[in-house]
Amino acid sequence: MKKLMFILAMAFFMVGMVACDIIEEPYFKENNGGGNQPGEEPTVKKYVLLEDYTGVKCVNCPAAGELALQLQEQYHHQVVVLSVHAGDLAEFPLFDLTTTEGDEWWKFLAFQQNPTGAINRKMVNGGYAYDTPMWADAVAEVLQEEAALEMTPSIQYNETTRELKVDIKSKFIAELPDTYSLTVCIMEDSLVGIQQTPEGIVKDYVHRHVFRGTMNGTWGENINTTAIAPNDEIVKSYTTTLNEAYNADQCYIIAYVANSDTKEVLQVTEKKIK
Amino acid sequence: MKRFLLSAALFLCSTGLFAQSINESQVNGSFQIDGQYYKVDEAIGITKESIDGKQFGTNGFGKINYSLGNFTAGLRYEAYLPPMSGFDTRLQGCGIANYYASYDNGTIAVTLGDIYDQFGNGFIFRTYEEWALGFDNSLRGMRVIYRPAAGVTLKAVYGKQRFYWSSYAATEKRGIVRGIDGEWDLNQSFSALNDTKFRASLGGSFVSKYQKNTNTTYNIPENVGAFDGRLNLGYGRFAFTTEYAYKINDPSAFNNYTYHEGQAILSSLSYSQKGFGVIVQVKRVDNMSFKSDYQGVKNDLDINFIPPINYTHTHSLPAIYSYATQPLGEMAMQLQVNYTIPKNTIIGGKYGTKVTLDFSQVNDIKRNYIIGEGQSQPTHISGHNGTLGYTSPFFAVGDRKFYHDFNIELERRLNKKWKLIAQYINLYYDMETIENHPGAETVKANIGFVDVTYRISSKQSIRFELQHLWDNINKNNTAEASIAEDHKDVYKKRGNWAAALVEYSIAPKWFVSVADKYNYGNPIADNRDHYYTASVGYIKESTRITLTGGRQSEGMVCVGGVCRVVPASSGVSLSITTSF
Repeated sequence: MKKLMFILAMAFFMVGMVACDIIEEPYFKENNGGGNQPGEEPTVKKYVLLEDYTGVKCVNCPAAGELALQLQEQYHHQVVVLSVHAGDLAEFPLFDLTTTEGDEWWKFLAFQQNPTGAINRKMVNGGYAYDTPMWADAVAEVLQEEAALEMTPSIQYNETTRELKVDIKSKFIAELPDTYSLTVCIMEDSLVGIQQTPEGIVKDYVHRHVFRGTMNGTWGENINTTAIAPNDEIVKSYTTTLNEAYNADQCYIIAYVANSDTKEVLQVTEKKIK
Repeated sequence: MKRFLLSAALFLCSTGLFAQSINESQVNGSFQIDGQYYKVDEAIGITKESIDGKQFGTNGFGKINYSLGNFTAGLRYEAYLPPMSGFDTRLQGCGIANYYASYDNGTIAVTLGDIYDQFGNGFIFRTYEEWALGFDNSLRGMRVIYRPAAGVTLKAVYGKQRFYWSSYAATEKRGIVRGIDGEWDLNQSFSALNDTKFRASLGGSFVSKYQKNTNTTYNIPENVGAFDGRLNLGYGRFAFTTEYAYKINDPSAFNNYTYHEGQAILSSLSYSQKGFGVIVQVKRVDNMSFKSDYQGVKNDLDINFIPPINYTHTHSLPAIYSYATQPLGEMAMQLQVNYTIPKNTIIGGKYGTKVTLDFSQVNDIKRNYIIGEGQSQPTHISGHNGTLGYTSPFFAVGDRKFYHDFNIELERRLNKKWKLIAQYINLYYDMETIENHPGAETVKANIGFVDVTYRISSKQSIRFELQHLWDNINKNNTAEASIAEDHKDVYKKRGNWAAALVEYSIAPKWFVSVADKYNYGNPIADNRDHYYTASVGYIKESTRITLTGGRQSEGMVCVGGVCRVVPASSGVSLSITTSF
C-alpha cells in the first residue's frame, strides 16, 4: 500500500514537472500599449508614476533614465517619469539636483542604491524598490489596472511675475474607503549638466524629467476626511512663484493622488506649464 | 458511579501514557542574538545622516525542535528590529519564520512545513539558511522520502520559497518549486562490493518551477525544468565525482531576459593517504541562475546553489577580497595539495610540518553573441533583451579572468610552547565583475601573514597575528589627484593594508583580543584609516558571549560563494549564542 501511495505521489510530481515550456521565437509579445484589450476604448486612462531615483555620480543611471524614456514612449506617455536625484551618488555640490522632498522620499522608501525605481509606490518583495530589470513588467502590470479617478490639471502662468497657479480636479470613478492625498510636483525636463556615465564624465549631459520640488509639501495635502463615492469631484488649487533658476519653457506639473497611509499612487497626471 | 469510575480509569491510563510520552520525548534548540550600537565616526564616513536614527541593530533567532519516536517538529523564531547594518532591510520584522513536522519510520519519511534539502551539489536544488548572510530560501510545502531498498533513496519536494516576510498566499507572484531526486549507493545495495576497494553511487534529479506569466513584453515560459545527473566513484585512495545539470530556457531579470539554455558541470578527482592529499576540480557554469521569480535579482529566491571551488580564507586581510560565484558564466579550476613533512626529520622538525598548496582560477565563459533580427549590433552592446543572447563553446575558456588565488601555507609546531602558521597569497580579483563596480581597477595583490600561538600554561595561551597586503595600486603609483571625484567609492578599501592581532585565552572560558587593520596605502588620503577592535568573550558549556567594540571596515561576507556587502561601521556589538 505504501509503495502504491509513493508511486502515485511520484507520478503526480512527474506529471506536474514534465511540463517544460520551451519557447520558440518570437520571444516578444505583441504589445497593445497596455491598459485595455484591443478595440476596447477606456473611458478613463490609467497612468503610472515611474520615479527614477538617480544621481549625477551614478554610472549606471543614464541607462536607467534611457529605459524610463523608452517605457514612456512605448506606452504613449501613460508612463509619467519623475527623475528624483537622491542618495549618496546624487550628492555633488557643484551641480546639486537634490531636493528636500526627494531626500525624504528616499528615506521613507528605504532605498539604498542608485538607480532604483518606484512604480506607483507599490510594495514589491516587502519594499518599494524596483531594480531596473523589473520596471517594464511592473509598469505593464499597473497599466492593466482600472483607473480609480480622472485627474484634470489646469495651469495659469504669468511670465513676467513667474507666478504659477495650478488647479487639479480629481473626479472619482470608484468608491474609495481610505484617506487620500494630492501631491503637486514641479518637473524640469532636458536640463544640461554634468553626469557620470560608463564612458566617463559628460559635462553637457541632458538630464530628463528632473524633479525640482513640490508645491504642497513632501506628502501633499489630504483631500478627503470621509469615504469617497463614485462621481465625487475634488478641486484643489495651489500657487507659487517659479524659481528663477528653472527654465519655464521646460517645466511641467506632475500631480498624483495617493493613499495617505500606504503612499501607493492611484492616478497621476502631467501637464506642461507653458 | 460506574461512569465516574470508568472516566477516572481512562484518565489515569491516559495520564500514564502521557507521562511516558513526555519521558521519551526530547527537546533541543539554540538561540542567538547579535546586536550592535552604531556611533557616528566621521573619520570613516559614518555620519549622523548615514545612521539615520537607527543607532541599534539587532538580529536574533530561537530554534526549538521536539522529537518523540519517529516524530519530530520544530519552529524557528526570528527578530530583526531593525536589521543590523549590511543586512537587507526587507528582513525587518519579527515572527515565526519557519516551522515543520516530520514523521520518519526508516522506510518512508514525510515532512510538512519548511524544508531544507539539496539534491547532489545543489546545482538545481538547494534550500538552506545562512545566518551570517541573512539568507533563507526554505521551501514551504511538503517532502516525501522513500527508501525502498538498502542504498536507494527517492525524494520528492514541492512548495513555495521563503522571501523575507512575504506571505505564502496564492496571490503572491513567486513561483512554485517541484522536485524529484533519486540516489543509489551501490555499496549499500550489494554487500559484496564492500569486500572490494570499489565504491560507487549515482543519482539524478529533476526540478521544475511554475510561475504564471504576467509579463506583457516577453513570452516567459511558465514551467521551467532543470535536470541533473551525478556519479561518484572511488577505488582505494582515489575518488572521482562528477555532476552535470541542464536547464531549459529561463529568461529573467537576472540574465537580461536571455532565452539561452543553462548548463553546469563540476568534476573532481582526488587522492589521499596519510600525510598526503591532492584534489583537482574543474567547473563550468553557463546561465545557471535559477530563481522561483523571474523578476528576482541578486540572491533573491535562488532555487539552486553553485558551489565555489576556491580556498576559503579566514584571516582578515585575504578575506577582504573574497570571490562571489558568478551564476551567469564561469570556467573554474582548483588544485590543492596537502602534505605533512614527517616528524623527526630535518625539514619536518620534531612534530612534523603541514604544507598546503592551493591554486584556483576563474575565468568567464566564451560567448559568441548573436545579432538579433532587425538589430545592427549584438545584443550585449545594443542592450536589447529577449534573444537567445549568445552561443558558447563548451570547452572554451573566456578571455576575461575574474579571479585567481595562489597560496601556500605552512603549519608547524616549533616546540611544546610555540606553534606557527604562515601563508603567502597571490590574488587577482576583478572588482568590476565581482563587486559590480563599473570602471573599478582590478586588484592584483600579494598577501602574507604569520599566526603564532604561545602556550603559557596548560590553560593559558597567547596568539599573535601579523598580516600585510600589497596592492598593485600602490605599485602603479595611482595618485589621489588622478581619481575622479565620482569614482572614489571604488577606492574605499584599495591600497596596502597592515594588520595585527593579539589574543589572550584562558581555556576553556575566557578570551580577550585587540586588533587593528590599517589601510595605510589607500590612494585617497581620507581613506587611510585604522580599523581597531577590542573583544572579550566568555564561554560556558554551550553558551558563548562576545562583546566587541571598535570599527568595522567595508567588505564582503561570503559563505559558499554567496556574498553580502558589509558597510563600514563603528560602535559596540554583542553576540550571545546558546544551545540546549
